[in-house]
This record gives sequence, C-alpha cells and structure tokens, in this order.
Amino acid sequence: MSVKSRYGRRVSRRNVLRGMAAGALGLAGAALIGCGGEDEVKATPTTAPARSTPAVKATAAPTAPPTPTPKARATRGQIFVFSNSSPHISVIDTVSQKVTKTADVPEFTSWAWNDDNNHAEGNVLWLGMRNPTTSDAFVVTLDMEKVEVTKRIPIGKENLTLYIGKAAKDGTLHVGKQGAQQVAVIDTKAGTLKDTWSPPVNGDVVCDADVSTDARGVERFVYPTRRGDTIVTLDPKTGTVLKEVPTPKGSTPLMLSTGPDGRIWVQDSGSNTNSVYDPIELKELARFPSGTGPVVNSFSPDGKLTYVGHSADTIVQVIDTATYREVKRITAGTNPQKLAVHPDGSKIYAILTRDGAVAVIDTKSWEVAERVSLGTNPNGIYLRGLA
Amino acid sequence: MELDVRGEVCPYPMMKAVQAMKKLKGREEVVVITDHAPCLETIPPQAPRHGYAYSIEQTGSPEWRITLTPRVPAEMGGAR
Repeated sequence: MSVKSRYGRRVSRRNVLRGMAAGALGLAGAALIGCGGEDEVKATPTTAPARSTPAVKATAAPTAPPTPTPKARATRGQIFVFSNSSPHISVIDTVSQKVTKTADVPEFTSWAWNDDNNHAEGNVLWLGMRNPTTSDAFVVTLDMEKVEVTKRIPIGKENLTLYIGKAAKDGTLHVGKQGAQQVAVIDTKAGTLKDTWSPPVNGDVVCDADVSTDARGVERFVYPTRRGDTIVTLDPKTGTVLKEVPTPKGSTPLMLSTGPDGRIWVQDSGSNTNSVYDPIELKELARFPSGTGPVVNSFSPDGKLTYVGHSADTIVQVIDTATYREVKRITAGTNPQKLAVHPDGSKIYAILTRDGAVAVIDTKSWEVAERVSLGTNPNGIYLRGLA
Repeated sequence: MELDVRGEVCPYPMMKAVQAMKKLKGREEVVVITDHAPCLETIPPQAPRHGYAYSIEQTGSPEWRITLTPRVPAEMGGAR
C-alpha cells in the first residue's frame, strides 16, 4: 500500500505545520557571496571539510524545524528512475537495492523534468513528457504498480521542458512550461487541462514549479524565473500574482522545493547558491553557497535536513534546515542532480547522469554505500513509500 | 575545444558553451556533446552573439553534437 513519498506532502501538512514557532538563528555578520551572469560557471570547491561552515546570510525563519511526518511510517520504498533511452523506467527496491523491474513507454518521446517532488496520489505518479521534434508537451500518469503510462494529457507546445511539483489540496496541479513562459493548470481528478496562465517571468522563463503551504494552511503556487532574477507566488486557484520579488542580479534562481513548513528553498545557477524564502512575504531568510551547478533539493523525512543535488559537480550538499548551516558535502559521483530519500531517512538516492547508476548514500556515515547500475543514463527519480 | 556535457542539464551546458566561446574568441571551434534536448534550443542562439555559427548533428538517441564554428577564420583574427 502506498503511504507517500517525500515527507508526506498533502496528508502531512497540517501535522507538520502545527505548533511551529520562530527559531532564533543569530547568524549575524555573514556575507552574501558574489553573483555571476548566465555566461559564467563559477568554480567552487567540489570537496569540503567534513563539517564545513560556509558563509551564511540568514534572518530568523518564521517557523521552527518541522516535526516528523507520515513519510516516516513507510518502512521501505520503490525508486522509479527515468531515462530517455531504454529502459525508460527502472524500478529499484530499497531493501534489496536491486533493479526489480524495467519498462519501456510505448510511443516514447522524451521525459521532461521529473524529480522526487512530482505529484503522486495513491499508485499514480504525474510526469512530464515532451516531443523534442514537434515540441508537443504532455502530462502523463504512471501506474506505479503496473509500471505503465495510463493517461496522456496534451498541454500544448513547449520547446524546453516542463516542471511538476506538489498539487494543491483540491487536486489542482500546476505545471511550469519553461520556454512557453506559461503555467498549465491540470485538474487531476478529471485528468484534464483546465486552464493555461501566462504569469510574469521578467523576461525569461517559468523555471520549476511547486505549491507552498504556510503555517495557516494557505497555499501559494511558486516559481523562479531564472534569468528574470525574480521569485513569484500566485494564487493557486486564480493565477493572480500574490508576490513578485527580485533576487540578486545574476543569481538566476533555477529550481525550488517547498519544505514541510512552507519555506521555499531555491537553487541559484548564476551565483552557485542556495537561497531560502518565507512563503508569505517572499522575504529572503538565507543565502549561502552550494556546489557548482546546484540543481534541486530534497528533504529528510523529518524535515530537519535538506539535500542539494548538482549538475557539473560530484557532490550532494547536506544542509541543516533550522540553521542553514552546511552539515556535509558528499562526493557521490558524476552529476548527482536529482535525489530521493528513504522513508526512514537512512539513505539518500542520487541519480548519476553520466555513470548510468544511482548512488546509495548512507546518512550515518555520509558515504556512498552502494551504486545500483541501470544500464542507461538516468535523468529523473521518484521514491514511492510503501508500508 | 570539445565540451562533453552529457548528463548535464540546462542552463549549465549553455553557460559552459558561452564561457568557451568567450575564452577562445573565435580562434577555435567549440564542439558541444549533449544528451539534453533543450540544449538544442539554448546553445544555438548564443553562437552569433559571440561570433560563431552553429550546426547540429544527431549522433545518438538521445545525443547531439553542436559544432560552434568561428564566423571569422582564426587566421584573419578570429571573431570580432
């Protein structure tokens, strides 16, 4: 039976948010790191001391560290790994750490951006797919029991990629259409496209997509605009702009995930930084270095740690979500871009996009305990929690 | 110069291609090898901005070779 992957989104929010109080951080005097333009890849160390403490600019977070979630009730999981070459889907069992099933998708074109933050309900996982030749874009549903695509919802043209995050409580799923500068609004209950918005992108793109739920249970759809150097929140029902704030020039906020307390964690590709925002005012709470080419973060089941994957680097960065301090940099392999976390928090799974493998990182030793070979280079991952 | 950016996702391949074109200033071609289809949309528009022309060849499934060629030959002083 499916319990939930990824710190129990939807189901767990109310519990997670209950009773959270402000945490005094007292991190004064730390510096912002410099920001580069899109044309530069800044070199940052790929290795770091066992317990490095990079400069952190931080203000008090509006919430305390999150409490454990129902995610922790899952005792094992299945890791779904996606690839643009055969097999398109590989399923890894978290107990045996072996690939137990593979499947090719009929009429396959190309996966869009898919990561462990993608919406899932029961056995159904929602994924993006795109035809690079025609730019036709689809949201598809994957039956995780049968490992079969069961529905394709056309959402128009998209020449770059699609982003899927958590759905709103009413089942609305917002899909970022990067190149089209749009948000496709999907009714997951009906399985239909119900609207397409063209929100502000400050001259660039809708890059990534997620729904944040604050301490009062208010939902906001949020996205970064990459070279637009802004973060934007929308009313998830109407698309009305709630807040639009600038980020440091050249920081190019690329990807984001919302934490179990609603905070918005952003990876900045221009400045090689992580930045954290409160969901209500979009006030910047912290900004601190990542590795080279930060991609996207995942959270531990208890929400106390977050893990940042990278492109053009070999590390997974571990961050304490209460203090924003770096706990560890784990050398995981080539391009450990997208991550998933075991339901009990004991392992992190990182796709290695040049190594045709998934690295299994032990969170006690912070070392790669195993590599699961796939026979194909992965580009997406999702962990399904099982009771 | 060859940039093998297979496995890397946007915008990093484009950023590396631009960095290479800026560094070489038209003295040498840049060959980008990628398996990330969006690079076919993001790298070519950067070529003329830096004095390069481009061509794309599909070399696998999915894999492409984007060749960025100086518009002004190196013996004539490279890109201007």
